[in-house]
Amino acid sequence: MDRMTNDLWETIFQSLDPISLLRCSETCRRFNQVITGSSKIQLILYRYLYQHSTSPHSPTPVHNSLLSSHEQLRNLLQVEKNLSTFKLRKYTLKIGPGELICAAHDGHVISKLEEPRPAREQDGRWRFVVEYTETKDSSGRNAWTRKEHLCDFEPDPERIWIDLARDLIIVKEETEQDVLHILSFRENTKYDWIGVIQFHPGHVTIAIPDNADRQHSLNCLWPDHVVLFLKIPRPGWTSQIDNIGAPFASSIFIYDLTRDHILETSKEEPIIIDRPTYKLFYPSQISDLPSHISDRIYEMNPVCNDLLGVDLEGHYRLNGIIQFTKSINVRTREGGSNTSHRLWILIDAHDLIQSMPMKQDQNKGGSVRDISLEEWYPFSYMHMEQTTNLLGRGPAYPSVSSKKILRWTRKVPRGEVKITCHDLNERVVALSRTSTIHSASMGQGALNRRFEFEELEQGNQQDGKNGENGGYMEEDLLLNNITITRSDNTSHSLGAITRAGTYQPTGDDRRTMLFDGTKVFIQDEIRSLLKQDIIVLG
Amino acid sequence: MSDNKQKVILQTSDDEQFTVEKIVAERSAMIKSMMEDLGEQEGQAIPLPNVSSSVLTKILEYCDHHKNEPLPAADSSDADDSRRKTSEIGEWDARWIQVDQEMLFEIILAANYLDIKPLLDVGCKTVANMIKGKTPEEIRKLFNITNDFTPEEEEQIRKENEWAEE
Repeated sequence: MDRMTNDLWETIFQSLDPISLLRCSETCRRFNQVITGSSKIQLILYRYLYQHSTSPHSPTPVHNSLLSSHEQLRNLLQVEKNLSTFKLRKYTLKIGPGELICAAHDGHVISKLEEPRPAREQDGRWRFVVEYTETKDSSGRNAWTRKEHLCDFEPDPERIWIDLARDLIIVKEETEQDVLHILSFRENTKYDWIGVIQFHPGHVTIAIPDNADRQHSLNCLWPDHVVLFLKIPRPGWTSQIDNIGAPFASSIFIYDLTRDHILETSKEEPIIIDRPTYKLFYPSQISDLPSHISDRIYEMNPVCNDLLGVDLEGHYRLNGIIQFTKSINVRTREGGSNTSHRLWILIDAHDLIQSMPMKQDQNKGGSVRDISLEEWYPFSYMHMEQTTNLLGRGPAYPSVSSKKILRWTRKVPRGEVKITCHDLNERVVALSRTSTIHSASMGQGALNRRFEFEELEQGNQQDGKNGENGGYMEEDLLLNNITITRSDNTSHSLGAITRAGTYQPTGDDRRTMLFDGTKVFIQDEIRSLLKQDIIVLG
Repeated sequence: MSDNKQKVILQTSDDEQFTVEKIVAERSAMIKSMMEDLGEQEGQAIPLPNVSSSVLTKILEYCDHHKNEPLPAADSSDADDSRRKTSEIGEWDARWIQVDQEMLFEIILAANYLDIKPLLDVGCKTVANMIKGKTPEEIRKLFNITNDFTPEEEEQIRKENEWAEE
């Protein structure tokens, strides 16, 4: 026992449940240090905390008094950086004199502007802390240096957060006035904004790159120059969803941050919205993302490989991002010339669910929300992408910009597709869509592409066996990697979402969802995409 | 002589030599890589200075039982994690690892040293199972741990952990 290293204890503790972990941490200093010092174990605890914290307004302290506040904050930030695997609802951490409350909210570290209260300057502007940086003081101890900023609006702690992890300002319940305030705030900071505002119900998010590196990342994640403000219809809009274009068409504003110029649809220069096309973005592995993005993610979280995982119960879990994406081509006419933009609307299921009316669940009692897949679309994050940038930089990957974590369970009785969705908090994020599955058409003929696939490694089975089966997937073959080889001999990885024991795909169903590394195609969509011939690979 | 029947000599810390089938010894990623380094030098004993003969005897029992299973992929810490979470201790393993606590830790240490991941797993899970459901005091008793917290610290930590016990 004496020879047991802390690493070995850490390994042992990883098999423990949260309660036992906490009890171990109470036994002696050594165990306490192992448990509080291991980010893997902290993740277990934080996840548990997240699941058991019932009120978002009653932060639960999880700090450990044996660590200095400095270490606590660093741990917190460290854990938060592993945010792709979980999200916290909220917790607070006092970091000593000055009493900044650092709260995590929705997976991000946010310095909530409670303490110190933003102070009003004599000229009427507000001063508040936006950033804490780790430094050493004169005696060599760790210390925090504050960076303060001034703004013209009151950074109301109930409505406005600074997201330290992403250097974002998050505003709840945005109004146009907020947007203008934030635009003016830009003038008062050193930040060289690339001009990104994301709106989705209840939020406006503005990205502020803090350095060249981050800016690079944001450039990839978000488009530059053009910011789109899309007014999301509030609950009650449902009657309008038949035609996706319609509810948006009358309420699109485009803010061009480079010129502080606002285009509105009601103005003389009309915005033409092309017929939208739908795509489902579903990167399974970080390596599926473009290298400049994956590098960034690895840098933040070296252990993160799979965006898609399988949890203890065998449900699919998204370590990363799941979003439905809809793109709309928007053309604006300025000075006689057309500018083409592509608007990405990223659908976030959680926001959608929160906005949906409740109905009684007759089986289980209580209220549930029952919505259809189509109804996701208008609830979304958004992107604007100038098509002129496409060639130089490649398309933006909107799927990376959302940190929402959802878990998918697919139950597939023959002839139907049902998709249920939970978030990590196991809240009712239950989406379901029922539709008849038609017979598969994903074979060689349908796609006119050749499939190669490998058997899923499992137990004693042989692995790595290439199944050249004339391009058709065999009934009982588990697929975890499919490669599409195109006529020009470039290949692209396709994955099929299959796994024995949990999601038992029928022959038909297996072919109803495929993803090619960035996009998942639901069968019906595949067919329509095929018709339109707009599958873009690679 | 087929590849599988090749023998390897292992030498323990107490200078005892064990002649074992190569396929059994290869359960240990450490021995496997050592054999690759040494090449085909017949009769050369592989020294295991951190493993005593009693522990090695026990571990070879395990390796022999599992010799026909596929080796876990090297360097796949992720797959490792998922295995750790999902798989329970097998029936045979559970019976095999019914040993006293000292031996259990020796097995874990040796599994770690010899780099036998599934065995390390079984060992760690077994210890974890011993901990589960016990109070801090019971855990101290279990491992003969001295409570080195000050009463204030102990009270403080207990308070902080209260949220989970509600």
